[in-house]
Amino acid sequence: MKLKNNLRRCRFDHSEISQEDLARAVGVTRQTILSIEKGRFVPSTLLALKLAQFFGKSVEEIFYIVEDDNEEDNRKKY
Amino acid sequence: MKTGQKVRWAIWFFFILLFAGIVVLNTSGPDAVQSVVPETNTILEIFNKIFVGSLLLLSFLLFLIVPKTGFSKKMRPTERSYNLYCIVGMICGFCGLIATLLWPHWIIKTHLMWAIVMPWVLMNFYYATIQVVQKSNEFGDEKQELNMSSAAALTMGFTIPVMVVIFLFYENNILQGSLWFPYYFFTTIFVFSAMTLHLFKNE
Repeated sequence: MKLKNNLRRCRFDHSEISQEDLARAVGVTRQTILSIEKGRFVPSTLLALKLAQFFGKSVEEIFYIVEDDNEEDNRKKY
Repeated sequence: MKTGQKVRWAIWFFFILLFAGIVVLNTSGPDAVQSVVPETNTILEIFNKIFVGSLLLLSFLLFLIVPKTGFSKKMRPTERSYNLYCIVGMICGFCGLIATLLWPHWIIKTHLMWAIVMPWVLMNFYYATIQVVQKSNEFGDEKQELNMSSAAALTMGFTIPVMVVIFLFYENNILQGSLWFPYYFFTTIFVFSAMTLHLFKNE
């Protein structure tokens, strides 16, 4: 399973706020926001909640789980 | 050139340097170096002692004074300071390795190694001051801390073979004295800083 997110879309919906400003608002670095958006870094529960709070959405509206193709195949096998 | 590429080039350059050092030591041996470089240099030794001592004292005083002043409100860990911390660590580690290769008999006796590592020590003092000001034990944000942990684990994995190589040098009388320490010390600082920056930029 992989954690994906709509962070970029949320930023654009939220007056196209920059990564820098969002990072400052939730107390992290711009590089961390960039990594989350690209799916390379999984944020902690606290940071996910902070992001959700900032955009006025629930965590599930921003973050969601997708099944891996390999994992799906493995499940079908068994 | 992107930062990630720069880091990769720096790591490659480090390996080339390490290999060159091994070749030089194997071909000439420590005696050849000793015959070129005088064993001690009193002026350099005194200068380094004063330089390192005064910087450490100043840093310690600032560490005590700054949290009580208004200036401390402006101090906070930023992406730029984190990058600077890694770059300074890389430069100090790299320069230290070069100095150890070029002046193996000066590096410890004249306290040159402490003078070289001072910028990195000062960066650590800066971060320690921030932690006191913010009353937290966090070094940066969660990604930065994770990257540092990963870099520390990778550094440990890397320094073990380096120590094996240094041990073999001692066994074959290529290295003598306490030179293992600056080699280990600067390799660790360089690899840790490079890995931290690489992970922070690319992970």
